[in-house]
Amino acid sequence: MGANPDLTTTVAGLALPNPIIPASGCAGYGREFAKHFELRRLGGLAAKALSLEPRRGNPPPRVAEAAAGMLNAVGLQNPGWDLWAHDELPWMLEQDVILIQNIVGHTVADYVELARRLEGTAVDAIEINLSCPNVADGMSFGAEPDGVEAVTAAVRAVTRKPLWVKLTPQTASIVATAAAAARAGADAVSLINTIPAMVIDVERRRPVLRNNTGGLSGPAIRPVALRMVNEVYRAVAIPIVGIGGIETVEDVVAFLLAGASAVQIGTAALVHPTRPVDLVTDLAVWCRSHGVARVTDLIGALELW
Amino acid sequence: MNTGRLEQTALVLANVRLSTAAVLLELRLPETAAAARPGQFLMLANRRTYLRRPLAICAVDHDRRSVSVAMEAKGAGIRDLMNLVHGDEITVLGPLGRGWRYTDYQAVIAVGGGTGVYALPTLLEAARAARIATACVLGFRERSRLVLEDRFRAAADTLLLASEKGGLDVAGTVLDGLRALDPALLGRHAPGQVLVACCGPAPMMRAVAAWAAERGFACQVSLEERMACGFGVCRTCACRVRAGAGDGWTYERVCCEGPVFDAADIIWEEDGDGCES
Repeated sequence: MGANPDLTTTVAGLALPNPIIPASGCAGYGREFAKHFELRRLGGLAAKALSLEPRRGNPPPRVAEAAAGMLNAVGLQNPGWDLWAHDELPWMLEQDVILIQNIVGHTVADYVELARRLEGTAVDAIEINLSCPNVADGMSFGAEPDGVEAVTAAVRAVTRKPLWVKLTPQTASIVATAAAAARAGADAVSLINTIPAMVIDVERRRPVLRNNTGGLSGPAIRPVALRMVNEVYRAVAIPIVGIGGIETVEDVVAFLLAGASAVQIGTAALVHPTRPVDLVTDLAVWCRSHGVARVTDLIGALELW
Repeated sequence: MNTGRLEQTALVLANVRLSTAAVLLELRLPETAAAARPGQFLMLANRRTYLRRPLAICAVDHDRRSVSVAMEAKGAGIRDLMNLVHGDEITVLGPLGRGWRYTDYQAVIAVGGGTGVYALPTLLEAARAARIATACVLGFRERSRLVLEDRFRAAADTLLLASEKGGLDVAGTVLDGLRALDPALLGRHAPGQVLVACCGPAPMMRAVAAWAAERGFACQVSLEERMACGFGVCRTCACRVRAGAGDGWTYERVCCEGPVFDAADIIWEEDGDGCES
């Protein structure tokens, strides 16, 4: 195997240099990672959720340990559009990385306004966060197909940028919510977001998190995510960005086989800061050693029994 | 600026018992030892928990190219670290955070309680090296919990040890210890030239900050909060910091904007608890 494997992939026409993307909420706006590696070595950057107004987030404690993972209840803390546009966006655009900006709102109108403003920027793609479990109303849009369809269609009407819809696993049918996103004009779906969960301090008889509940992430949720990615792959035509507890190159390959066109790395990068960029290297090595010439040959190549 | 790999592999050089409850773990970490500043911390992986554990840098040995952290048993993660022996390897992130800002002062009064005392020896030693006057008041639950007495005594011009159970210099809290400090010592410098540096349980830090403010001393506190990453991306280690006009405030990151904050900027949580195990 002399030739370097081709790691490039596309998500609904958006070309990525490789399939590895730090997940929104676990990468900030890229500044912390950029101290340790060049962001342009990544497939892209899914930047932290952005709302119109600044959000302070939830009171601490915001994190709790779990078996093979963690719970977080950050509460979508972000500087809001004005500070983001002034301080964060220009810096991110200088990094020469494919930029996927995650957005969140209280109402459909909030999402529409954010997308309308992003349309006038050089952001490469928009990811709609319909599923953050840590704020009172973040779940409401993502739990039902009607809510997904309403937000997606409204945003679709104001942007020609690639539109990814990030789905919550907290729904009766992930296929139904993914299909609703596709019907409403989404270019791709990213799944899964965290799973609502609770950790209890028995001595204090209190939840560890000040928010009581938080989103479970990490390897604990990986099998759930793989099942959902594969279900959606077999039932819905638009591309999938796989998310959920990815730590190793074998995990990356598993998501590609299940049907993901790209993947996002979240919790693992909190423990191993260079893991996203290390996985790019590892993926090339894995493809070479397995005789895989193009990483896209792996997408959906899973053979069910 | 690319600062290289944050994650380092550390060889355990020594595991030394400091008291009935505490151990000092010495780790071979050449790059960290060269870069570490007083008040910074490390994130240590262990074999029991998914997330790393934050621990203050308690000692730096440039000859041995090592960094030491001290800990007392709380949960599974710390207990696992306490069981490491010479020759074991763990991975570490650090040095992390913004440490003590002491160089502009003529005197430093270090005040510590509980596991907070471990954030203070490197400060006192650095201040001593910079010819800054040093005093230290430490509180321990009981005499058997006393740790690092020789190091504190060597680095502080004055050392007062307090325990509410007695048996040490002062029967009471660190506040009683501060009140027992020689007034002539405190009067030697203009109030604005004195830094009170405090690390311990939140109620203690709050009370010490009030004591310092009454006297016009500057005060910095080193905060603890549950954190996932330690290098700024996860936004979980939030603490309330005054910002803007009036009663304005924002959540800042203990790991990046801290762990050492100006006490006057902190809005204390009514039900805040300490760091995770």
